[in-house]
Formats: sequence, structure tokens, C-alpha cells
Amino acid sequence: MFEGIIVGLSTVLTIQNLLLVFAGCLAGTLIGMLPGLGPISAIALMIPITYALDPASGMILLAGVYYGAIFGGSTSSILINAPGVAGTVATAFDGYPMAKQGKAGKALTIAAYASFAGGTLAAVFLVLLAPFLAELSLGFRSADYFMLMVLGLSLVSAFAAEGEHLKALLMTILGLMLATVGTDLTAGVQRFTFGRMDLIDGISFLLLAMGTFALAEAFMMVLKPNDDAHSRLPTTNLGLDREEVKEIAPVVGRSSVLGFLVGVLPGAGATIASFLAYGMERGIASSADKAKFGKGSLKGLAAPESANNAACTGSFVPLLTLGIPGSGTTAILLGSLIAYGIQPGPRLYIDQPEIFWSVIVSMYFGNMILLFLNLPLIPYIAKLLTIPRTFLIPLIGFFSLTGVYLVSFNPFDLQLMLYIAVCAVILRLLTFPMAPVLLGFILGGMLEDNLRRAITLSDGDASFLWERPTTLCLLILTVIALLSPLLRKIVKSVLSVLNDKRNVSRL
Amino acid sequence: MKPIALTLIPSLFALIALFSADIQSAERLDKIHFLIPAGPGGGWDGTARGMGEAMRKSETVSQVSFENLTGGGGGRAIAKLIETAPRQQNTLLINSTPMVVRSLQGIFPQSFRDLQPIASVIADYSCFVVAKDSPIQTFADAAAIFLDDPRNLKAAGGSVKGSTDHFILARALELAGGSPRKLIYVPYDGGGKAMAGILTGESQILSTGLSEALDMARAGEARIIAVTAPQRLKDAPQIPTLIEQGYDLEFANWRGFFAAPGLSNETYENMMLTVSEALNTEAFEEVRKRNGWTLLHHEGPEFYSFLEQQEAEISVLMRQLGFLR
Amino acid sequence: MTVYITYSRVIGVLFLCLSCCYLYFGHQIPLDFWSEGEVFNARSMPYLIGISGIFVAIALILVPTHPTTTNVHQQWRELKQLSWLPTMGFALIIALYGLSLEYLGFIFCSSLFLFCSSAILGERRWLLMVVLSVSIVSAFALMIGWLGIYLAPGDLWMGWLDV
Repeated sequence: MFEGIIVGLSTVLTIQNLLLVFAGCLAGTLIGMLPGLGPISAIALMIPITYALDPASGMILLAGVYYGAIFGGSTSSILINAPGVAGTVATAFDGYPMAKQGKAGKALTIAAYASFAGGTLAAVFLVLLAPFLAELSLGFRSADYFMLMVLGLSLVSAFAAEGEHLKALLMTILGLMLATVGTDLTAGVQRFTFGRMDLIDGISFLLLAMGTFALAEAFMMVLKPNDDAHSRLPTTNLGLDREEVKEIAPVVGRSSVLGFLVGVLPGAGATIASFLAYGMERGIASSADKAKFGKGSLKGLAAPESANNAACTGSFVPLLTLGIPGSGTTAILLGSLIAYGIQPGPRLYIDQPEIFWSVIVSMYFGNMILLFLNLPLIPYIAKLLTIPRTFLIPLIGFFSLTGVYLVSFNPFDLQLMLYIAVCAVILRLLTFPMAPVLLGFILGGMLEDNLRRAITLSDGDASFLWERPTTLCLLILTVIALLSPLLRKIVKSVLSVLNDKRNVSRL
Repeated sequence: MKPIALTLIPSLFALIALFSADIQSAERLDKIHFLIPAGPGGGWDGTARGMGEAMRKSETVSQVSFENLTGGGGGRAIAKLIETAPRQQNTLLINSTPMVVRSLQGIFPQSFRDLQPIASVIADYSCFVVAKDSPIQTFADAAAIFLDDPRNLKAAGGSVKGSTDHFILARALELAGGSPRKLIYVPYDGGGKAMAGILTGESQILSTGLSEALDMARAGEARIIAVTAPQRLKDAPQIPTLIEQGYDLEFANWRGFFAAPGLSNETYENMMLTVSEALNTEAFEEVRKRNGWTLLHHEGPEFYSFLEQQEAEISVLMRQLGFLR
Repeated sequence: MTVYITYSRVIGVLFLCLSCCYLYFGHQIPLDFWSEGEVFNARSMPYLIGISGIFVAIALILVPTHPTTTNVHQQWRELKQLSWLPTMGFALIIALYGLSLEYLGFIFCSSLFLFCSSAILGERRWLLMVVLSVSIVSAFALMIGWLGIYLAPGDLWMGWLDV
């Protein structure tokens, strides 16, 4: 292995390849910052350039674009509440509130460090554990994925304010409903399309995220003209003090491990990883910390940010060791590896060590360059928020609308997005949370597919729920996650309602 | 004063950009515009961009542009090409076998008859894959398991029920003497996840396109037991065909180009010439090798009759199997 | 005084209607022959979602609201103070943008969008508005072009380009 690292280092440490890592990260960051153009488009559009390069350099460039795009996506999540990449939705939950409190610079700094730590730790895991993890990823069947999605849904309470669990639940169901629009992935029949061709492919995640988050936020800024004044406070305080580092370091560690493990599973991915990490951190936080989640908690920002970067690196495990792409992005990467004549698989690092190791070593360098590239830029990026609101709001509107349009080229999507944003604004004014809609939407589709597969595979028997240890473990975890806070809260709320009644009747 | 001067310069550039962007759309004959009914990064996109790259490198065409238009299961791009036909003088729409299947199923109202078929370019055969340590060695082994108890042969596929992946395997099992309706087909979201499905052991056989399967099978974790090509392929001679194993089933998933309806014959001739010239260049050969594609070149009327024949075959198959009513 | 009609309950009632409609349309989903023998088919998930929607909506309507936190009059006063007029204007501009985008073309329509929405938000530095909107949109369009993403020119310009 030591030799391998030397091989990798000597491949990466040429001026050309270092420049490529730099160029890839820069291009990826820029593309990722623009809502809409995610890593898939970024890589697909970059591929023609890579054919002019040798395999190792080409892969270094593409991997750089991949991290860069994920990294850049968190910037727009934090600054304008526009998660352009699905994996950075959870980043907006606490990152955007921080930006609104005038701590945009600090939020971006935390995001940069958390991404760096997540990516780097995951790269270490990748080197040490890749062959073992390949086995693990094959131990996960449809029934397990189904339970994983249920576990994810049980985190809904993490996104609800105290005493508003019913509202959060209602919003989750709304998300589940929206997820069923379009062609059913199992039987191929159309559901809830009302004969419209525009709905056959369903509602895109991007559209829903932009509508409920970015565009709705633009509307809120118009509705409350005096409310966003504080975002123009000088964003001088970028650094973290020792207390804060102490606070987020364990969070980053835990979330990186969780994110990496989820990323290794071909059927999960960065989005689920970031949601799970967010939910887990909130679940184990002390009650004082718990109240801060959703209102600019440092932990709530660091957890999904490190998890999604770790998951991206994790998705290289099934790609490099088994040749299985778990996501659209890794499918394109597989395609370009093959086009170079590189065959991923268990023999990759025996047959072509310079590719295997240079990709991995370039991951460290990519993460480092991302950090050094972005830290000095943060003050300037954060200053974007000081643009007068008469220009800032139209720009948020413009970027969220075109982000959706440039993917589908369908004006119908813009109308649909407007309706969704208007509904979201009304619901938000009445204190209904929006994050559960996205959670239900993302998990709903995968939950249904995996459930149907599991039922088909077990010939219609429900035994798949407890037959295998992995499923059973996840089931037990879900029950614990569901019951413990609920029971605690039910007891508490019953008591408080009784107390209030007594007080009211006394008045 | 300073801000105005600073903003004036970009706006000057902007004005130039505004006009140059519009002039770009002025139609010239040596320009090809590819309309791709899916997002960047898929099979259609790869083929069109590969073809475009070959055209530009070999200087067959001086200007190439690509438009990704998703939606409606590919139907939106077809509808747009038909609606705006008069100004699509240089447009080639990429499509493939699912177009025939989807119009038979009535997912979109148009069929290839509403467009002008220009040429098919490459073929992707279907194939069946098993995990490396699976007891199934030949297709006969798989059929035997199925005939014994259909529940013991769960079939994974990367597309919905009723798609080509599903009915090709059902047809092959019917040829082996089984009842195609008894096949338990388990759809996954894409070929990669379906492959993971057979590697985890939850399903026993995978039905998918050969090029995708080859990419993954070369990793050594899976074996391809049969391909629906007429004879063994030059690029993958180790894979036995279904025909040589005694099951008379040949099926090619073509990818090809279509033009808008109602243009002049001269335009169509030019397009066919452009495509066939591009196919014969070294640049295309390089792209083809890189992607492991098999050439399948039918032109104009020949392509049209090929499509009619395939449509008839698929329609009979799907009706026999009960997939169409 | 206890107020029974709270905003949450109104939403609850609306959601109850939505769930019923959802169930109704879910029941209309066509089933193919291979779904007949299946335990879980294309309609099952919509049924599950619709029914749980009804339960949660009813729960939201029935659960006693906290008398101190749910002050309807207070909420109404707060809602009334929001600047609704510019918001509706902004929504209208977005709707018009969606409708006219393919006709006017990306660059022209987007510049117009930025200009008009700035105007609605109270910006009056006209020259700056024109310059900014045109330059930002054009720079963006140039970048899109550089990435190789095709932007179709608007239908409006098609006429005189052909000549």
C-alpha cells in the first residue's frame, strides 16, 4: 500500500496534474454554485476535454469537478437558500439561518472545513477499507434499503419545532404525495399526470427544492421588507474560536463515518447521508442544543456538510472495486473510465495501480485545494449578500428560475414552480415547516420502489421485514428513533396541557 | 461616475453577445444540431455527442450543437421537432428502440412514422447476466430453474415492467417452453442498481443492454451467459449467442437519427450523406472503439422498413406475452 | 375567549380535501395484467399515503390548540402588515416570465425580468437597472454557451432572421 501511495503521489505531483486538480475544483465550484447545474451535468460537459488527456489526468480532472460541484452547491444553499444539488439541501437548514443572522462568512468557513474533513477522512477510509466495504455494500438488499428509508422518514421529528409534530407529519405526507406524480418506476403506468405530457417524468427534485426554498425565500424577503436588514451586517468574524471547534469536531467525525458508510451503498447516496447525519446529530444533542437546530446551529450545519462529502467519496468504493455505479454521477465516471480502457474491479489496483492510487491521492489534494481556493474567497462571496435588496431579490428569482429551466427547458416547469412557491409561502407564514416536504419527496420514491421490490422478491410475504439481521437491526433502530422522543414529548405535552387547563380555568 | 463606467463595459460586451447569439441561429448547411430527448450523461446523449465529436473532428461538418430536451418520456422532444419542423432544417433527433415500444404502449401519441428516419448508426444487443459464483452456466440452466419453479428465478432489470429488458427475457423463456407471464421481473432504477441486485443475490438473472453489462461485467464480479446478437461479436467473442444455444431469438436495440417531417428531399439527402460520411471517418471509428459500440447502419428507406419490421415483431411479441391488449 | 377556527385547522380541512381527491385519483390509476396477482401494485402506495393523510389532517383539526401560542387575532394582524402588493407584482412578473420566455428568447426576456422586478421592489436608478440586468444576463448566457448548453433563440426573432 505504501508503494501505491508513492506511485499515486508521483503521478499527481506533476505541474500538469496539480493544475488539473485546481482547474477541476474551480470549474466544479463555479458550476455547483449556480443552482440547477449539478455534478452530473458538470461532468458530462467536461468529458470531451478529458479525452485529450491521459487516463490518470482525466480522472483527476473529473474527480475534482465532482467534489467542486458538491462543494459549490453548499455555497448557494447557505447564501440564498438555493440548494442546487440534492446533497446540499440539509446544508440550507442551518446554513441559511446563519447567513440571515449576519454570519454568512462563518457559515461558509464551517462548510469549507466540514467538507474538507469529511472528504479527507473518507479518502482515508477508502484506502484502508475499500475491499472490506465492497462486501458490505453487497450485503444490503432491497428490504434493507426500504428499512433505511423508513428510518430516514422517522427523522421527521428532527425537522419540527416543539409541539408542531403534526404539522411536520402533514408536510411529509405532502412530500410523499408529490413523489408519486409521474411514471411509476415499477409498472410503468402514469400516476396523477392528468394527461399532461409535462408531468410524465414527474416533478423534479430541483424544481421542488427551488420552489419551496429559494423562490419562496425570495417571496418572504419581498413580504417582509424590514426583516432582512440584519443580513447586511458586516461579515467580519470568519474564524472559529476554540469553543466552536470543540463543539463541531466530534460532529464532523461522526457524520463523516455515517456519510461514508451510506455513500458506499449503491442504492442510497449523498442526499440520504446528509439527512441521516442531520437527524442523528439532532437526536443525540442535548435539549439546549436541540432547540438551536434549524435556527443556525453550528452542529446542524457541520453534520450534513461533512456527511455529503464523505458519501461522495464513499460512492467510489462500489465504483472502483465492483464496477457498480450507485448514482448518475458515478455512472458517467464509470463510462469515462471504460472509455479510457480502464476496467474498475477487484483487480484495478493490482493491474493499474497508478490509476487507482492517483485518483485516491488526488482526492486529498482536491480537498486541500478546495479549502485553500475557497477560504480566501469567502469574505468576497459573503459580501454578495450586501447587494441592495432591490437587486438581490430579482437575482435570487432569476437564478432559481433559470436553474430549473436550463435543466428541463420546459416553461411549464416555471409555472409549476411558481404555484409551489406560493403554496410554500402561505404554509410557511402559518408556521408549517418546509424541510419535511423535501424529505418525504426524496425518500418517498425510493421507499416505494424498494418496498415493492422486497415484496416481489419475497413472493408477497411480509417476512422480509425480520428475516435478515440487517433489516431487523434497521427496524429496531427505527422503532427506537420513533418512540423515544415521541413518548417523552407526549408525556410532556399532556402534562403541560393539563397544567395550562388548570391555569386557564383558574383565570 | 466610477460604477457607471465599470458597468458600461460589461454591458457593451453584453450587447455584442446579444447579437452574436442571435446570428448564431441563422441556418447554414454545414451545421448540424442534435436534439437529445434526455439530460446530459445518458445513452442517447453519449451517442449524439460522440457522433457530433466525430463530425467536428473529421471536418464533415463545421459546426455542431447539442440540445438536451427532457420530458414526457422522450415525447416532448419529438413533439417539438414536429411542431417547429420548418425551422429544424439541420436538426437530427436521436432515438432508439424504446421509441417503438413506447408508441406501441401509447405513452406518447407519435411514432417514427411522424418523423423522417435518416439512419440508424449503432446497435446494442440485449444480454443476460448472472453473478460470478452463480450455478447458472448457460441459458438452458436458467430455463431449467424457471421451468421447475418460476419463483426461483427472479429477474432483475434496469427499466420498468413491459420494457425491452422484460419482454426479451420473457420471450427467451417462452422459447424454452415456459410461460412468459409467470416470469417474476424485478425492476430497478437503472442498470447499475440492477447489477447490484444480482450481486447481492436477491435476484438470480439480469436482463440488460450489452454495452452497459460489459462495462460492469469486465470487473469480474458477473458473467454474461447469452447475447441476442445474430453471431458472436468481434469485440466480445467469449460471449455465446442465444441462437447458438438453441433459442432462436435475435434482437438489436438500435440507436439512430430522425429529421423533422415535411422538409425538402434535398435536405434529407444531405442529411443522410452527412451521417454516412461521418460514420466512415477515422474519428468515428475512434469514438466507436472507445465506447464499445457495434455499427448498425441502415439508411433512409432501408431504415424505415427496418423500423416497420421491428415494430411488427415487437407488437406481435408483446401481444403474445400479454404485455399489450 | 376561545377561538375554534385557527389557521392550522383551516389548513387541516384543506389537506383533508386534498387527501380525498388524492385517494380518488389514486383509485383511477390503470392497472396492467401483471399487477393483478401482486400484493403491492401501482395503487397501493397512493392508498397508504392518502389514508394516512386523512388521519393526520383529522388529527390536526381535532387536537386542542395551545390557547397562548395560537392567537388568531395576533396572527391576522401580523399577516396584514406584510407587504402583499409588491409580492403579488413579483409573482405576476414570474408568471409572465414563464409564459413569454420561449417567445421573447432567453436574453431579452431575462433582462426584462430583472429590470421589471427591480422596478416593482422600488428601485428607481433606471440606467443602472438597464445596464445591470442586460450585463448580468448576457454574461450568464455566455457562460452557458461556453459550457455547451444550447439556448434556443426566441420565436419572436425567428421571423426576421430567416429573411
